Amino acid sequence: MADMPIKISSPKDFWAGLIYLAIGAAAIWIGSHYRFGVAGRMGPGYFPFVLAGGLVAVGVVSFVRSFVIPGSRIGTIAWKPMLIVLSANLLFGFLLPRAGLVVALVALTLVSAAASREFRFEWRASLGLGVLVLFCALVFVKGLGVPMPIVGSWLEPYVPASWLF
Amino acid sequence: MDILSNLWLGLSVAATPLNLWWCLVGCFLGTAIGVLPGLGPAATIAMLLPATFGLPPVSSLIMLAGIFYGAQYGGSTTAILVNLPGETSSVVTALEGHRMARRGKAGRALAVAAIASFFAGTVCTFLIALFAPPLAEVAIKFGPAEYFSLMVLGLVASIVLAHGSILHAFGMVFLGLLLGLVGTDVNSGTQRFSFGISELADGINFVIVAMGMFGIGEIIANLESGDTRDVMVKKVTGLWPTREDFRRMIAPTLRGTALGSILGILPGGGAALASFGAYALEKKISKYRHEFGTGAVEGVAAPESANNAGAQMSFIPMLTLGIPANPVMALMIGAMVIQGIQPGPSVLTDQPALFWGVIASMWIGNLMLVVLNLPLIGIWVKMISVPYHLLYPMILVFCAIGVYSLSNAAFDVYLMVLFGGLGYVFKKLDCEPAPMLLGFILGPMMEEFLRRALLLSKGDPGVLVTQPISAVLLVLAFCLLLLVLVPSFGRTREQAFEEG
Amino acid sequence: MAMMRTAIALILLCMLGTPLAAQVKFPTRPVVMVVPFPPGGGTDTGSRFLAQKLSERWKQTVIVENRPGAAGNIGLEYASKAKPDGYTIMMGNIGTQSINPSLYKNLAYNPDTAFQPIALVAELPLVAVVTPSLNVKTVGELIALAKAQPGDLTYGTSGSGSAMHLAAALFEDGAGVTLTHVPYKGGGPAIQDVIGGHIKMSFATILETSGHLKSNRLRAVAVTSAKRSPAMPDLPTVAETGLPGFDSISWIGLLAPAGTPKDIVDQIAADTKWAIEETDLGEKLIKQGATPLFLGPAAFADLIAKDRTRYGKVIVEKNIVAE
Repeated sequence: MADMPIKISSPKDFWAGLIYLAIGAAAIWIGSHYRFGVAGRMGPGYFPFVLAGGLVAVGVVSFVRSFVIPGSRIGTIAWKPMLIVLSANLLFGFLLPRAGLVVALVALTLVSAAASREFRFEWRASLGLGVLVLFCALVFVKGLGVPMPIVGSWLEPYVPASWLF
Repeated sequence: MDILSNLWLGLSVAATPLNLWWCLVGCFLGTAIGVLPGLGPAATIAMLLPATFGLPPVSSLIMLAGIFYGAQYGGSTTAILVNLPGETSSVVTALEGHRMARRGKAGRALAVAAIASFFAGTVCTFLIALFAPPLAEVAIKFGPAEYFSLMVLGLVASIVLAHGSILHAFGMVFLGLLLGLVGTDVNSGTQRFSFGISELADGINFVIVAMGMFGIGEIIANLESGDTRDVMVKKVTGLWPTREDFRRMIAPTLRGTALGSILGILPGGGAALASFGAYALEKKISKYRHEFGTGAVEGVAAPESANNAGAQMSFIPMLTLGIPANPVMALMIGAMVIQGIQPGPSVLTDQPALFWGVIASMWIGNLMLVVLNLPLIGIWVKMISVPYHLLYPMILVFCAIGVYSLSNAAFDVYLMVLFGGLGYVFKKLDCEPAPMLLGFILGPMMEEFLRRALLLSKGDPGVLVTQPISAVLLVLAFCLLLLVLVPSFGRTREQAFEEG
Repeated sequence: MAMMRTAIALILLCMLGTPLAAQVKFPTRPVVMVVPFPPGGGTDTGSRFLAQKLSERWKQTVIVENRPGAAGNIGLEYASKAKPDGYTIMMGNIGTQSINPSLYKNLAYNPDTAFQPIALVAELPLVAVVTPSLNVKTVGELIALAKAQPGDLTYGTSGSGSAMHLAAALFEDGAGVTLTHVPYKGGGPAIQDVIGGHIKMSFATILETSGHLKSNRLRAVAVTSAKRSPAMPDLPTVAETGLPGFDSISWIGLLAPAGTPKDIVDQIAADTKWAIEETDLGEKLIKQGATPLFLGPAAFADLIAKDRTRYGKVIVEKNIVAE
């Protein structure tokens, strides 16, 4: 018995079940801090508890089912592209108020493009990038008035004030 | 006949060169707004409100209305082309529409969407002309109990939407419902699940979740193999729908229009249900339901006609009673007030030219949008035929700016990243984002209405079944749930037999 | 010698130049007006009207920047951190300045010291409206009904701690009655339910209710300000018809981050006074149901403090909470 591994028949159900369980349990724990109330006069903690309970139930079923009912394998996980794309966006969010729209856009585009194997420095793509940045600045900031700094707070002292608006 | 003379009056008002021009401006702006993620018609109209001060009232309303339903058309465009639903109503269009685009049928999907929307718009113009006042009366009868039951029905419809395992559909729905609760609880003022972060105090914006799970998640998945040349099929099989497409879209368009018209008149949440209610309906009764999930024309025609119908019918409570069905209508009321017009039943009698002019302009606007959008299809298709490794960074740029522009907060961008990661993980686990998104939209509304209904009935849950409309809706929901669950039991039993 | 003369000339020139430099007008570049609410609401629309007028006067754009969220706290936090050079100002309202400090315990800014009041712009009286099927026409009848059926009279508001809620709380206090609070996500949905008869009454803004009043879908009982509203001169006040001394309104006003130079504050105040009293801004505000009223920096600061004490008391007494 000791050397018979427990076979997970359906990895997808297994992991999904775990995720549901984790989130559901966390929600129940956080929700326990809110007033529960009674069914006739529910407090803020009532619905979260019921829903989290439902999620936990689904998680348990999925988890148990993963050992019994076979399902397909998960397949390759694209760790590198995922990390690259996600960090590119994080970088954008970080740079936008500090370094301004131009820098943030360039960072987002270049970093995220690196996730693809076809990433190369071509003059046409660079030109396209320039056009894209210009387009965004004109349409979003000038045209629609979305308050995004073209040049952020780090660079503000170095740029003449008339460029800022 | 009275109706014809009224419509004729309306047309004569709406078809003046000045009003035609403003209608065109509105439709054009609306389409552009709809295509750009994040910026929605409400924010745009708010920004343009001061500019309408100098315009005659009819013209300003026509333009603002054009922005509103133009945005519906534009939102479908990005949903189909790049799987980015900018509005709640285009989430469902993305499901089938983008699948069609991946198979080179983007042009056909876009055309079907435009034509279905136009049909719905035309029908609704007549419906409004004929039945506006009585329909508005029905809308008022909907109290919290009725709305709650409607949301329950919508929730069951979300489960029907799921292609794969019913269990995971439930899981995703629950997850979405929970996420929707983040923020301030209306009924008690308590902050829930916000960890003291003030950006979360008003809840998570739908656009953030949609961009993350649909946009970023999909992009990461497409980058899996590192070779992105086959993400979109290069050979585009014609820009125009085939005769077969046309034949298949008739019934779904009719059904979608009917459903959207009914739901659209309900202020506060009716129209959101229209598109996925229509999709769920099609999925259950269509002859081609086995194609759903791989690009079925019905899956584009039904929700598109439903959401356009819903959008137009939401004018009814505004025009006849002065009750805004959604934030955009509230702004339109503001525009009318600024011009010195009191929205309400008196508009019909005191300002018939205004009333019928706006209604007639709706049809003209729909016509303009079809004329605007159909030729653009060629351009859109060309645009997405750009090599994917150049396209996806552009998509990311628009997602990021769109999300940032919601509240000018970098925090929202970080949150989108979280959902992007989650979206990819769930994709790998075969858990669909659509039911989660729908649970996200419906969850807070359901809770709000339920608690309010109980508050008003002093804790008596029986009110949900003693009120006739509410009872009917709950019974429908129950039946739909049975329909969904019973076949799946059959299925898993078969599976077990096959294995064992 | 030539060098000495040049030097003296230069020094004289500089001295001449200094007063000229001091007279460089404010503003010399666009100004940002932060609005801590989403576009389209009462505060936002009023802000845009004012911004337009100030732009005309200053020949520089005044940009309205919406920073909504957390009942205004997000916008306030943002504005409080802005450089106090006069180029960032903020349109606050009674909620953000006088109510939130008592409602929220952990504000990211110091409500007592973070802002320098510039000017009050307008008062927004509320109207007590009831659903037509409710047989009540005066405040007296309303109070009698409330006393006969304690807890039965349901009223809708735009949320716990909102101006609508506090007006009702003050009413309960003054009249000695118990009403049932039904919160909504905004004034609009609340009014909708009053029209439909699902709830019985509400204290709502004139903007949201005037159309329905005209079409008899709602009945106005009284207005909550101490004086009658110019937008509805025939409607008596609550004070006139049942609760002497009752005065509960909302208001909007301009503020600047603390540390903004006094002469800039005074100038903005003076220009705002001009906009309110000498342009059609007043009319536009009245059309929106607001009563234009200018108060300068000191008087405005007084109002903020007075309201904070008044509503702070009610909030504590009634245990109104927005954790």
